[in-house]
Amino acid sequence: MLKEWPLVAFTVAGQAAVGIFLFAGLPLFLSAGAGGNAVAREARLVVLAVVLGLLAAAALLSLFHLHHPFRARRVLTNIGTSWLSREIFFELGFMAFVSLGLFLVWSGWAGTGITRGIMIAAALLGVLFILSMSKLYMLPTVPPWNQAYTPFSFFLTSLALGALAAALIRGLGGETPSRSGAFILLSFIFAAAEAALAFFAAPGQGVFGYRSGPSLRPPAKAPRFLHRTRLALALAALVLLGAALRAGWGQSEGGQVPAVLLVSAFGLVLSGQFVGRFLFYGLLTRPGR
Amino acid sequence: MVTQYAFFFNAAACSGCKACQMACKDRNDLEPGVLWRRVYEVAGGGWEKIGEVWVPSVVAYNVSMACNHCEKPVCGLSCPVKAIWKREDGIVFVDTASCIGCRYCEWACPYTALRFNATTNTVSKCDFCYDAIDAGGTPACVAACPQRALDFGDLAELRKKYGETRQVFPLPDPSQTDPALVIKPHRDSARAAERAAEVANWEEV
Repeated sequence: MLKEWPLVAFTVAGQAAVGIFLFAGLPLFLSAGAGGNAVAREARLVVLAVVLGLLAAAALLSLFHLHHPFRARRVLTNIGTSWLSREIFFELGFMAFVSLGLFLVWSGWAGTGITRGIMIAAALLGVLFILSMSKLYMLPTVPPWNQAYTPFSFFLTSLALGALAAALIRGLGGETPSRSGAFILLSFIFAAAEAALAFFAAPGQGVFGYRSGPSLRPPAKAPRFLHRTRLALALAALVLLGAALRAGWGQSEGGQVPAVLLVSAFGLVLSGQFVGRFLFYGLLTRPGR
Repeated sequence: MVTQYAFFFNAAACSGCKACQMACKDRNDLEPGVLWRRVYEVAGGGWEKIGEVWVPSVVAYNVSMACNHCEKPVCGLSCPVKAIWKREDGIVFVDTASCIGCRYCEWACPYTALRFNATTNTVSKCDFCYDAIDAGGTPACVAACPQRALDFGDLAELRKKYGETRQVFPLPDPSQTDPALVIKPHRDSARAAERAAEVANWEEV
């Protein structure tokens, strides 16, 4: 299970990148009067750079699970039938469009309409990236992964981390609690949904989760305490997000949600996602070595 | 001309001696821990009371399993670099020179046929002893079986000879991959699920 750390890092970082783009990046291009002042330009550059950095880190980390990484240049060869090829295709596409957007914002070459179009295309590719990531594991021959849990879990990871990052960026950027509060509320909803999904439907661990039957695969060995750890982390994050909501409630201009609450909540949600993802890969034990 | 090579396995005749497993390892010079053919010991049951008498309800049999050179090879369909491909006669190959070692095919195959080779850092699996077959010979596992529990040939011919069964407990649903496999089930296999049978020799397979 722990051997799969490159895949854990790749999937969580990739999903976080898409979420951050959707919640913290895309709205900067869609809002009325976008393209305007220097502050807006700087915010866009920062968010796109963070997204690109996360995607690059994810791609780099994923190479660690390959035993012949230099042959990975051929990884798009089987795009016709392999969801693994398609996943990489959509990741590269997402990266390319985010890079292009970053360049256009930095250089100021393109008009608002073109940049906005490129960002919408990037968002679409990001969603397809997570969708292909889910499909890659949803093989009929692998029943523990071929559950609705897989796509729901992957998308909720992306949404929870993205909304929380957006709240953090906006809060630290000096926006009023009434504006960043919407993102805190969204991240609370997504984190709660993800925790409920894990509690009820996580394969092998959740109350109503899929249980593997007899097969030629060796039995899974994921320790039970990890599931409880994951739920405890999610609960602690929800408490902090609730406190952040309460702190920001009714505050007007000049008020601030304590950054320590949001940073801690982000750390807890992220840790919970890492533990949950290790459990996900722990559902299958490789035979032999 | 053979359009799909296949294995036949007679579970009723298999004694679990593992001569097939050893012959495969020997012929292909496989590293310790790498098994292209494996013999699973399936066991379950215990005692049950019938009237006033306790009688044994044990089920126990063996399943010898290698790559089934599926007609829909999920390993090859999933491989991102097309390193797994099917020959005209249905034999599924791994091109170790192309394999990137992502080991995704290991997850995908429900028969756990793909095995990681730490020497080449690629996956590996049964190649049906294709060079022996091409020279008119027999796969090593088939030749080694003292019980004649294994046979090979064209899938259509094997079906005519032995029937259509291609699944026994705990093998996966064959509609997932269309394995080129014909099985004569052991009499205990029909009661294996209800008696909570499971593979009893994980450390060996």
